Amino acid sequence: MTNRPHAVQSVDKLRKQVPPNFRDEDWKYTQFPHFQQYKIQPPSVPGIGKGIPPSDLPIPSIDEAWVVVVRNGVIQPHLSHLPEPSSGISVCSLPGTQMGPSEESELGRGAIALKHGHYFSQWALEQNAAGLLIEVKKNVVAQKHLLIHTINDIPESESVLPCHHVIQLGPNASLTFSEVMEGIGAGMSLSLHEIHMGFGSSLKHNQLQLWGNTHECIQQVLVNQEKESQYAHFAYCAGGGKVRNQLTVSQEGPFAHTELTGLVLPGAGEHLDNQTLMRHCTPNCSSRQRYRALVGHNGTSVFNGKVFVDPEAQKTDAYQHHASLLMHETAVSNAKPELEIYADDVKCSHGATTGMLDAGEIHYMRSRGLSEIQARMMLQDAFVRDLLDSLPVETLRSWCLNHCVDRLHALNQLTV
Amino acid sequence: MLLEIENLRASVEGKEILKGINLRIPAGEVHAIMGPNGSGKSTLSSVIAGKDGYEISGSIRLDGEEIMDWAPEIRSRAGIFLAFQYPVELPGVGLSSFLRACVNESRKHRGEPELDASAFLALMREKATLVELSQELIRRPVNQGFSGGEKKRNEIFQMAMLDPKMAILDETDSGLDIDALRIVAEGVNKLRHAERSMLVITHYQRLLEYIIPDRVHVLMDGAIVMNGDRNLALTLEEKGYDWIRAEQEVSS
Repeated sequence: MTNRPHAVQSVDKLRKQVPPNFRDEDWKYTQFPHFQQYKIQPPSVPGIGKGIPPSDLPIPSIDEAWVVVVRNGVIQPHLSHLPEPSSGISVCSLPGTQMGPSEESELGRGAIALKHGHYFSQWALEQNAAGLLIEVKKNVVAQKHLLIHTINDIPESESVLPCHHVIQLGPNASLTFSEVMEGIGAGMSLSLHEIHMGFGSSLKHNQLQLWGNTHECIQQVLVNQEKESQYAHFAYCAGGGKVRNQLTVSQEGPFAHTELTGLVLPGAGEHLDNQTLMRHCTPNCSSRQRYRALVGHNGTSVFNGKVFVDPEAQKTDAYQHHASLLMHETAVSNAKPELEIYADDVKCSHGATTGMLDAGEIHYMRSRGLSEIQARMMLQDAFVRDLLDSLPVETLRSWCLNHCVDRLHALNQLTV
Repeated sequence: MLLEIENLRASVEGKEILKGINLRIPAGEVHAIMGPNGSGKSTLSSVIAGKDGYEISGSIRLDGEEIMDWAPEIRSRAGIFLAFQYPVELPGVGLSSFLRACVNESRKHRGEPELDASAFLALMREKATLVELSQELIRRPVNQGFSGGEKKRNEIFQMAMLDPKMAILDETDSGLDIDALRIVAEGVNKLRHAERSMLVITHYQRLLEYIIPDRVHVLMDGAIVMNGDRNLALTLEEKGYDWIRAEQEVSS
């Protein structure tokens, strides 16, 4: 609990609060009313994860990437290949936590989360959740891709495993950082990311969320961007019992650029909620958000995208689009784009569409010899492929494409 | 006889649109159907292609086989092609991958091996020149961002790719400028041969100056009321549909 005076101060304030409920606009469709009764699952000891089954996950070879395997909150050294000290990149346990060997850092842990974190993120701070500190030093352009493979095995419901990663990019640093996130069991993975991006830095951040269909997840990614930095986030959300992702990006310096892309595939009984808050705080910044949801039989997608433009953020160029494709009459999509603009010389556009496949399109394709299922698959494939093309890591992209096609087959079997 | 239609009736929500159509098209012939707005021309083409949503009775035979119960894709694979009056845009679906899937379904149906990528590309290049469809359009999603004329040309291009026995062109001339009309008609003429029949549906005689029909049928109020050779189209152009209505009144 060292180095965290802010966190200590917040504890008293937090105890008075209760988890947000449906009266809170941002939590209207997704609540965790019994959260206060959840038990905390302690991190397991290193070495336990030896029995990880050989998976078909897109884990690249060590020639291509540095790989860090974290099982139930603990780094698995025998499965990991950390960056060499000469690479200018360090990955270690977050100071003050027990994830693994730690180093002292001057980083202000909680610096963003105390200001912009929601109830659950503040809770993770209060719990002193274990996690990683990833630092890319000034002017370092990472020669390899960094991948964190998180496996959370939380069999009991109403159990939560919190985790807190802090990522710091020095001025002009550049990194491609991917996360493959697996959650097994009916428990909850709660994760908080704080990302500090220095002047002119660039981060390509990809998350593949492969939660089991009874698993719960609450995640908040908080990003602070300094002048001329570029942050690109790609989310592939392919399952989860009840999932709430929140991306909060603040552009704190001019000429920063942000790209947020998400593909969401809720299947039967799954509830996937993605929220973005794009805060334009300084002039001449831009952002581009593209989200698509393909919702299967009895699946639910929620999207709430807010673009906030400060009075000083003149010449902001913000774009947001959300499209959902419902595969069945029981599929639900709740989408709400929001613009809150206090500057007068800006370009902000947004749009949202929700609908089923067009019967005319399917008939046209059938009249050329394709079966109904082939026609549906081809249209759905086109819907997702366009977005997947912007996933910058080839191994992840081709894996996601195959995964998507398998999932479409499964969803269509339930639908037709 | 390639296509035989007997006493074909179709209605939508209780409203009868086709009231007993009889039509026989021998292999290799081009027939034209003319008729005023609302006479049931497009319904006839949709029903032959197997579109859902109609209550139908009667008989449609292709090469002697009854096809009334066949799904649209089975009709297509068996050799029926409908060039749509309003071709549909397929967002994000690449024209070449779409057509490759379609062509291979037809080939499978005929017991032929599927085309590999290079054979398919060669076929596409060959057929695209037929309707002067640019390679740039082939790389785009189906009909997305195509002009009206390009969409119609794309329909004829798809027809060339699928090599049907029975092609139905539903008002392919509508929305075309003079040059596009000529290109489309020339494409159609190049596809005429002894084993392929065509049914050309049009409002105007003009298209029939380019595509010379063997027979012309006039469809009015859901029934074929007059048959003739290409001169019938000229007479219609000159005298209008009221002339037929008058003739019918006289005969009744």
